[in-house]
Amino acid sequence: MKLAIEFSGSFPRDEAVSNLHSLRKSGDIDERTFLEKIIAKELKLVGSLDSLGFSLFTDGMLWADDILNPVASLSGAEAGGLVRFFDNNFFVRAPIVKKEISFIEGNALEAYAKFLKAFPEERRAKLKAPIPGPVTLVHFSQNSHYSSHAELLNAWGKKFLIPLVEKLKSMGFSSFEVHEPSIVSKAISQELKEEGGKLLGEIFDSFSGNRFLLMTYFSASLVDAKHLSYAIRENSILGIDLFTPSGWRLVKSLSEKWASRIYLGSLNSRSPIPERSSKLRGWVERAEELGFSEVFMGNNAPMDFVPPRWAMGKLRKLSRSVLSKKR
Amino acid sequence: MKEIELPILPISVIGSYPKPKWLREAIRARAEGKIDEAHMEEAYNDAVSSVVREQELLGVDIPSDGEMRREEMVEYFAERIEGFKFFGKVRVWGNNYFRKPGIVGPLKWRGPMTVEEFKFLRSVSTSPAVKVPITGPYTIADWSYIIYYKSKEEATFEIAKIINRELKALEEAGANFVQVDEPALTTHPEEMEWAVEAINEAVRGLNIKVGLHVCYSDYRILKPYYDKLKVSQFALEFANRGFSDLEVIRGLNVELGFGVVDVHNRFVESPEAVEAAILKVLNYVKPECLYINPDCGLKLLPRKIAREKLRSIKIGTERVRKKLNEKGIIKTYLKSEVNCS
Ligand SMILES: [Zn+2]
Repeated sequence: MKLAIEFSGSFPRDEAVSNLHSLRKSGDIDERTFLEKIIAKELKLVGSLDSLGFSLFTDGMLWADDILNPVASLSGAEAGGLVRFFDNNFFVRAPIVKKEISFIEGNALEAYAKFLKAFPEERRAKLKAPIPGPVTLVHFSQNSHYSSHAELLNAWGKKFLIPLVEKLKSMGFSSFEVHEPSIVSKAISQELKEEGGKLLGEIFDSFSGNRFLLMTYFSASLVDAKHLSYAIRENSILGIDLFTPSGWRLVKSLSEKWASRIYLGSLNSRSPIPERSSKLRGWVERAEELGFSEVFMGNNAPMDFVPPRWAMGKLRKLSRSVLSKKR
Repeated sequence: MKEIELPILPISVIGSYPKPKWLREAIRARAEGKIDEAHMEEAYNDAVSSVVREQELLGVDIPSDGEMRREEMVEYFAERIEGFKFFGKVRVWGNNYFRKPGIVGPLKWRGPMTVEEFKFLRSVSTSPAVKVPITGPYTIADWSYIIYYKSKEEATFEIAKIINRELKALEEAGANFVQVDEPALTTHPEEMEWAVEAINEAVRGLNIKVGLHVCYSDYRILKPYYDKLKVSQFALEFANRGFSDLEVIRGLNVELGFGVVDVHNRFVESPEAVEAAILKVLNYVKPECLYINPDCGLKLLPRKIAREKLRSIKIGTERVRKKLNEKGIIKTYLKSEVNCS
């Protein structure tokens, strides 16, 4: 069995990064200087991850407020009011959909592009571009244009995500990370989740040479196995949050549905306390027993819910705990 | 409880008010050790005097101290209850943070946390009633890492006992209106049952007016618990949702504190908009059971905008009062027990 560690989504902002955001907001630094300085911070972060043995990582998304944040500049949907991001004391801005969704080359692309360029070419394959999933986009949209959820889903998938991935691919990304917590959320109907699973499968099929990590988090239930199974492809890996009561049951069920690779959300991003090494190693064994040929271990969700020092502590612990056991 | 007369549709605030710029500078100077404790205390007192006066001049019938001494609603209590430790700053949205506490040991009440706040507010306010907001047990637990206790439920009930002691200390000091703030209440619907019990535990045995503030939440989840919660007022946010879900307050058998201006938006609502909102809600609530307030704490707004919003509230409310006065509905009373069915 192949075992690797992987960092997903956002890394919490430290004091310096937070100051850069304040300076940009107050107009004391311009967009270009902001991005330059942020990217220097991101390079430092991924440098640490790289040396800890992480095989894949994002840029830490230090430039974005949250996973939905780049959407406004890239889709023409307006950034609306604050809405709670699941059951966390963390809020995102809802995309307001008043007209046809389309992909536009907005300024968020700059952040992706500049980071990629700043990274040594021979190691670019380790970078993942994080994007939101279609069901999550529907979940958070305030839609007054499309007449049904199905239409809205389709629009987010085909008019926005496919061209976005195409663009990011042309810029040099080969790996993608789709944040799709809503596909396991109890707040979403079974029909929409099923349609979402099928749509994700289609999206993955359109980019057969690229790797897609489908990140689900904060919830898991056996009923979701069906929707998720549509997204099991040669080039996809499903990410399951092990800190939800049915996490492992869902992992087991996916192993029975022919998933040969799995991403285990093994670091609880909602607690500062590092996971025990024995627990992390036990999970590797459990995944091996289930017959997975490739296992990726990483944080279960964006890491904004713990301060940076604690987040790094957890990532270090993961590296120490499981990489020494690698065979 | 002594009967206190109020004009019909009493105007109140939720709690926080923008801090004067000089106060923020003083807080920074204090953190850097440039001014001493006594100076800081004087600055806090001056700030409270000034924002209480400001609220009163703008027509607020029941002012608060603007939470001048509090940085953040959970932080303030976590700093003062034994058993908490701070882990660092965690982002809430955009570039806004709070210092996230964790419960790392048995929780204990160290002594009054808000009584001095109340006493000073009482001494500078000329209003017959003032409001003291206090963060509820569920929100304190939900926004903290639970490390020492086995469950969030266990921690919440421990905090409820502490809040209950605090509220009793406030009552003893002469407070007549306290408001439990529970913005997190509806975030985990499966926990509502015990969360409501914990709030009731926190307000048990009080003979003063107790309100409950819940904001940016799905009120459909709160609705089944209207009668179970032992409070006499629900202060809810409605401007943020464009006054669209008013149907949800049907079945509320206590008073409504009605949010008429949005606190996350710098656009100042007109007095006409406030008037229209109040007239609309009067289709659902008796005038004797209606208080008027902003959606939530005003602290994130520039002070000038907060002032203008309160002015709109006053003018809009006055217009409705006039209509009610013509029907002989002129005053109401601050009550710890109400019947609004
Ligand atoms: Zn509020």
